[in-house]
Amino acid sequence: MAPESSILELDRVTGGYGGAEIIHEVSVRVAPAEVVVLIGPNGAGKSSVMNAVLGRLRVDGGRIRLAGRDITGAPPEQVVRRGVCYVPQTENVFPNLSVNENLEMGAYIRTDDFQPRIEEMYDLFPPLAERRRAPAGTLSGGQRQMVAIAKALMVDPVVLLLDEPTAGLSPRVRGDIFRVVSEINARGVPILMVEQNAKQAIAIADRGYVLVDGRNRLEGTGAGLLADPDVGATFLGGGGDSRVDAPAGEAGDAGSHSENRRGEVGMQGGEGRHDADPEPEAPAPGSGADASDGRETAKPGTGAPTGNPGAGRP
Amino acid sequence: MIDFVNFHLIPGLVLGSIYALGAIGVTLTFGILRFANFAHGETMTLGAYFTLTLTALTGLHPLLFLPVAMALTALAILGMDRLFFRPLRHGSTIILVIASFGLMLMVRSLVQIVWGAKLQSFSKGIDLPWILFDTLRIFPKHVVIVCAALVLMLAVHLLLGRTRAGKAMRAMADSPDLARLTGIDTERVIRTTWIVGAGLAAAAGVFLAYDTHVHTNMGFRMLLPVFAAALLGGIGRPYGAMAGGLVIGMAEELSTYPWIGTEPLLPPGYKAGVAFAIMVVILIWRPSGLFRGRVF
Repeated sequence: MAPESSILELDRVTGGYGGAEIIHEVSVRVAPAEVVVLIGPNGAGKSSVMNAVLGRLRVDGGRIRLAGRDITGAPPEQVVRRGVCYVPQTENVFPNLSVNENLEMGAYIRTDDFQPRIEEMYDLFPPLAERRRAPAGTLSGGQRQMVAIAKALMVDPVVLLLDEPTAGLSPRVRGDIFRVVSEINARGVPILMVEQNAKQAIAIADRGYVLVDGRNRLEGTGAGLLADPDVGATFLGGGGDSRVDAPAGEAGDAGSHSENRRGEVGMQGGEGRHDADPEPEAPAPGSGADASDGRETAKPGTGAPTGNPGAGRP
Repeated sequence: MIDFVNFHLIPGLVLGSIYALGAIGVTLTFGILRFANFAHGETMTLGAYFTLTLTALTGLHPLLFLPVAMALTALAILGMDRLFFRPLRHGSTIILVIASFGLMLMVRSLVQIVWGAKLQSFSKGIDLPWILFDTLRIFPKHVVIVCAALVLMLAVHLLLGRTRAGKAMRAMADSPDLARLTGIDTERVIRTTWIVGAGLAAAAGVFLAYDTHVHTNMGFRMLLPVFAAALLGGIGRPYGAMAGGLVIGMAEELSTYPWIGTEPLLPPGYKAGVAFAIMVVILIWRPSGLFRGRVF
């Protein structure tokens, strides 16, 4: 647990956009080869934690260190060049560039021959190999997510940041993405991931942090969090049915900043209480999240039990 | 019928090629820097005047200096970007638009101070057309202009589709934010955009001056048709701008053909209104243009 062994470390970081403070003394660390997941209700500041790392959120207090070096307040270009690879939740591919060109752009900062890496990515994501000449904007949501992740992997990431990689995807594609995340991690890439599909995310994570209202609430190993009754009640019982929370993720595609700010206001009612009513983050079950291909099958593979839709809390 | 080809179709093709070159710069600036650059007309004027000076100094053919004029113009625009646009880059777009408007007035005045306000031309002689089939008249300069424009457009095509710099330009046009987060050097992409846009604008200015004459208002007069062409093609779409330029140039020339009866459909004095009319119609009926560009 010594800080030296961390790849990425946020040490009591406070910050926000404009005048408003979004996160308060948030501490998160990612050790080498770890998958760390950030969960919490909408507006809890999960994406803001990533933006703080990327230099897109004003940091008022605390330090951010990447492999021991202080990167607090560094501009996005610099953070990216130091090996923080970030996959935004939306608008994460260049729609008018072909799949292959997207990967080439991912390698923009590389000066050596990256063609072998492109082929590696096609091996990792076989569906992309067939569509390498297609504009990324014409792909399905899941394939676009694969392009976004592959694009980030074109350099050797010191740490990979994934902002809700499965938002708006069908359960089957969601399973694919989680499997790929595990596989990337198995190659030694540390990953920090924000996820709404908390159960599945925790299942593949080494550790997780629960954020509420821009503050650390809970921290633990994947298994520990899954077993924690509070986590179960607050985030998995109501929001655990993974179909339920996807639309919330889709709603904010016009920029996560304003989404966060709105979310912050919306969550104030439940401040500081474990048994906060999960209603605000749980719109009607099955409200069109999977309209893309209509599959409503249970999640395969991960072994996470499906939550009970309709049951607000146990 | 042969009058149609001689006096409307061929001039339309020539004018269209010139507009196309100008429109590519407008659409690239709009797509990548996200503002409508009013100084683009003056960029074309600058290209023509640089060529005028070089031709006067050496007595050689004006088109020999095309690459030099393009480079000089690009250099001038890079300087303007450094002085005027870059400091304003992170503010609101409208500030950039107003700045470009101010720059337009400044550059035009500067050109008038340096080169004078009167009409000038590259060569004194009379250009005789080739006569084919006894009636078809083709001016060698028109052939040269259209061919050179095609070569430049092909170069743009190769740049955007084959080179790292060109792909980065397209990436930034798609999403500047993601480009930054991908590690793309956005300032470098912006410089490339200015160089390409200014080079093509200079070429357009030189071709127009070669076809007609050099005047301090020539760029400003081209500004409206060139904007109309960029809009018609779809903002941020270089291929759209090429097609749009051709359509606008043709439409202007064809509008004076006596389609009905013996009188010109539009008196030639109203030619300039055609581009404006097309622009208004596009904005009302299809704001994304022919090639589905950005809508503001």
